[in-house]
Amino acid sequence: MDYIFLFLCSIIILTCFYFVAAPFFSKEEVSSDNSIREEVSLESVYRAVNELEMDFLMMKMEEKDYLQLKEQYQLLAANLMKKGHQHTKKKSGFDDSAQAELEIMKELQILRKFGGR
Amino acid sequence: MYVIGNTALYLGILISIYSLFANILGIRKKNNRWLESARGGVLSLVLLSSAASFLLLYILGTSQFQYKYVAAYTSENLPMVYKLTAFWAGNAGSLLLWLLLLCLYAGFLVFSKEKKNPMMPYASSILLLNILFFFLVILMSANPFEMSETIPSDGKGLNPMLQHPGMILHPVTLYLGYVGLAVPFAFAIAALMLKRVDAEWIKLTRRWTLVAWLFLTLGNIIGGWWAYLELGWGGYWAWDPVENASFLPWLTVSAFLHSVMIQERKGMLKTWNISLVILSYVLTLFGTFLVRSGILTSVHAFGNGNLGTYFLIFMAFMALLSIYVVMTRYQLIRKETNPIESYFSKESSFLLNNLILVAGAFAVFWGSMYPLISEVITGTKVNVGPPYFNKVMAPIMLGLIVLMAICPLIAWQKATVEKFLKNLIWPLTAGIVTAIVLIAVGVKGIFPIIGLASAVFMFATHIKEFVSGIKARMKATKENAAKASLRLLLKNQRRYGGYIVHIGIAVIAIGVISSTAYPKDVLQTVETGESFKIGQYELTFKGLTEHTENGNGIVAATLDVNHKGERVGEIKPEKIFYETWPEPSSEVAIKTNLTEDLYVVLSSWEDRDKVTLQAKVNPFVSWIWTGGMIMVIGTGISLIGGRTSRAYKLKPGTLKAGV
Repeated sequence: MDYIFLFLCSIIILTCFYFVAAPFFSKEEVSSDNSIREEVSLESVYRAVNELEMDFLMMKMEEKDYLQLKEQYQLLAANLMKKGHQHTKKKSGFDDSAQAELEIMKELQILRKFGGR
Repeated sequence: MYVIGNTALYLGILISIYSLFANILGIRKKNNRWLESARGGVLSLVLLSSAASFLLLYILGTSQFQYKYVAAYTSENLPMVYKLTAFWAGNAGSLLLWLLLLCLYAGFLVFSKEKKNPMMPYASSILLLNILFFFLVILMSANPFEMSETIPSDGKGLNPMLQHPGMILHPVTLYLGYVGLAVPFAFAIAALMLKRVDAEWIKLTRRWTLVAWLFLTLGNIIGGWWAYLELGWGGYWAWDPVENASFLPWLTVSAFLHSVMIQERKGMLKTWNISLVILSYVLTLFGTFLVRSGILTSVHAFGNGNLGTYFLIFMAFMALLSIYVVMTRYQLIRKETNPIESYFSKESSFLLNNLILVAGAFAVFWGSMYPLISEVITGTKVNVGPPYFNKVMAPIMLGLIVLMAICPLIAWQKATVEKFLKNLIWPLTAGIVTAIVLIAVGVKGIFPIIGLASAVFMFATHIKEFVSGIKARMKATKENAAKASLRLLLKNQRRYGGYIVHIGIAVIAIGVISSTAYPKDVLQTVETGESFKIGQYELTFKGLTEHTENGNGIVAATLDVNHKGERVGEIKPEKIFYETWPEPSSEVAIKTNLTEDLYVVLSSWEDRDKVTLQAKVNPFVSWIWTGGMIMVIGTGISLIGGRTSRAYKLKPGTLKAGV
């Protein structure tokens, strides 16, 4: 019986050793990811626009306040997306600011349709 | 087995230290292989803690009394389910459970889709520090695999109060809540270390925090249900210091869950949010310190020992580390924090809600610690007890209920008083009508009436929010009412999940207020065939019986129950004399319906034909459990929501595909 326990114990130790040592022998390239920040900023802007629209439709807010705030957020979204494009334009070959504005409007449309109201 | 158990614990210490250093080296040298190795270390820790836990379950299940822990908490005749749940009946096992859950959380985290996030090595290091502490404490002070020199023929058995289904769920859910709070804490510290004080860490930990809060809620509700059924107090909450210890982080995390919405949307309250997360985490350690140190008297306490000191030291270390990190980044946080633009807005009302919740937490903390504080100052331990808590917490909770009734009606950023008042009319009317009806039907007590009316006001507000939301969606999308209702819920899980949680709280509030303000209580000695009345119930004593079950002697009183003149059945309150326990335990008999519980305890007896019974009628207690379930459903809906949907996946590189 003791041998079985010693055998199990050895397996546990070896498995742990394998888990910590394996990355040093792997040939795979290991990379890190920084993309979340842009996604978070944009998402929060869209969420805020959505909330505003909801508040307006539920008659909690005056129309002029709603339109003013919505415009502010759309500008913010446009800026964030432009920044994103500048960051990756070499990669994607995307360099048309007018088309970027169009895309913002399209994405906001998608948001209104799918992102909740 | 002894070898496997102890190897797992010693190896756990070594691998925790190694993984910490691997993370530090990986961060310093910007070498991902070290970081991957640290991640492998976390996986090893999951394996080791699982192996140790499985082993403990095995020795408990097979009654291996050569292990001190098994002999101390189980016995041969204990049902298998309680042999296994004895895992967390004592210090050593419950610490191992804590460790296992911590390792599982860390494992899920470091292998999640965010595993390559730059914050991850920092967050993982904080969790590894926690894991290391638990491995050390288990080995130094509470080793479940410690063996005795002589093997007893039978164990001491499990405390009868712990032989209840609540034992299966309450500790596990509460620990899942406690341990889960380490994740947002780790990310908050990681974000500060990396000077990334935007809402990213909040976004990454939203689900983890909600899961922890869900389990804390469940743990507290199940704990209340267990106390109500098993302890025979007739109550579900006794403001016991250890109950309070689990209520404290619940309050602060509730505050956090609201204030993060402001940071996410407006970049406000950054210092406040970080402070709340740190406070919540420290309070979980504080709760554990209370349970382990034995400094306060409680039915939950595990007794004296040096464990409390270890927890105190660790708690102080983590608190100081957090304070240091916050202080050194304070200017940065302040610089990047936006001020509140409008004092009449949802943001402001959330801030007020936060202040009330934190004030509640402080009041509970003060009351729980007062015996210690008074002892230090005057030399005499003064227990404040339930009257203090009821007096202080009632207005605080009332304030919260009223705020929950008002807050959803206020718009984000730029609310107007005119629109708000217009929206307020019918929920407020519902509350006022409730108060009038209650007075008209003869309900007494001004404060309970205000409380009940406020709960209805809050309920009505949320119903109005659902109705207005459906109408708004129908107007905007031209969908029919059914489709609009479903889509409204499905597309806004966060908002409406939260509202469902609020509705659950309103239901609980009705149960708590009614059962606290209007209970009926009778202590009656009756002879066979004799009847007595309580409320609309008439109880007739039919006789006392004795029998044996699983080696335990059971004495039961049989009572016929009539409700409003109609026979509704029979109940049997019992006293159980456990073979392995010196004191008998009361098994309460409860007859429950939607509006009240008949609650009967067999207090004592003179002979087979003469018994003393304590009977209570507790109004609306079942609403508390129902409200708890509604809260869980609401949190579940919120958890599904907030996912990065198709419209939100706007990584710059993929944007073109959307044209």
